Amino acid sequence: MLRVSGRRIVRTAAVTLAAMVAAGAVIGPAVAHHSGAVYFDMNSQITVEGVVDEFVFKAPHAVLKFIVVNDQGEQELWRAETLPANLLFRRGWRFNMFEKGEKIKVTGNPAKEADRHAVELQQVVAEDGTVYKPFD
Amino acid sequence: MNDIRWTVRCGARVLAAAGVALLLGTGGVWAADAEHPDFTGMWLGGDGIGQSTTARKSTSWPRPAPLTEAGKKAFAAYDPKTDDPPEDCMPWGLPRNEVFTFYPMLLTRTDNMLLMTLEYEPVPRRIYLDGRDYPTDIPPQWYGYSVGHWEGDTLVVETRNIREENIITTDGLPQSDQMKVIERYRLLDDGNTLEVETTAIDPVYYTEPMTITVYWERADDVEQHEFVCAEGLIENITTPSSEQDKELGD
Repeated sequence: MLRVSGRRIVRTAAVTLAAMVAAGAVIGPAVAHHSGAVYFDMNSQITVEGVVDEFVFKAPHAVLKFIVVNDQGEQELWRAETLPANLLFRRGWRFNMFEKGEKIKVTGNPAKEADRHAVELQQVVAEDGTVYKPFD
Repeated sequence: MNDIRWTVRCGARVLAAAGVALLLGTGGVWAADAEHPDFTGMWLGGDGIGQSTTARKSTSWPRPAPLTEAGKKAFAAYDPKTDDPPEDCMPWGLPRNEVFTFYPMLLTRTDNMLLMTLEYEPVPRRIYLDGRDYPTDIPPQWYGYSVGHWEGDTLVVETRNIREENIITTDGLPQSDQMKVIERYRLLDDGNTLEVETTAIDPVYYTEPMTITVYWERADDVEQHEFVCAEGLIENITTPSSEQDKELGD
């Protein structure tokens, strides 16, 4: 497993901003505290590769923070927002399921505002190929 | 004489113990209300996200909503980023039933009220069952002031004094301080399903009453956990990337 600190990424992860228009597939449910559709473009998806920085397993939204190295070789901090910890727990997720430095591939709906490194999480693929989805 | 006193005392203790047993332990039947259905226990919502497997599907509020002119204005003016109280970790409040079923609901009873603990909410909701009058000296509440009565096996709850700055749906259907909410609770499927039919009556913003029906499934093995919304008031969504990157290396 790739173990790196926030500052020292030893392997360059490709940023693939392959916008896949998922026509009609508005997947994210309207879960209070807010609906993902307020801040994220639920009609498009991007996939971003990086390494886990921190999994904030809290209410009202859990956030998977991860570090990405962009095409210029610079580090970027990304956030994947998802369901509250309470709902994730009942779906089998746990606060310690991701390790800092673990390589992941995150697919989600991009932020509507420009210059935001944030997505509404649709799925995480771990390095061993395990797929985690917050909802079906 | 002493023997008689002893006998009376023992008898009273036995009776008291039997009463407590009846109250707490015997099949969930409360002595205070043995003639009515028992709604107490843990319930899981039936909308998939709550993970219940019930075949009964909850309904939604009617769309388009029967808005008055004032209602149309309020609905059009709604901005989800600034006008949605839960964005600031305020309660959902009644009657935002479309979201209640996302989290388990615990119903408990005292002898004069039903207590509803929604996992999302910081405090339980109180539904008084003793036929009391609605107070006139308390400020509006997120869940209003609820008094219930039985109509056969159905618990009918009327709620007044609900805070008007709240909304009924996440997309901003408005509510006024004139709104009353009538709920009808009844058990189905041998007591394993709780049906809650909720009607909002708000003559300021709607031309007619609106009704939504949600279903809950008994889930005795489900736990509720803390849900501390304020703890996670997160800035991330509106944080420009350059600001966000400053966290790198923390």
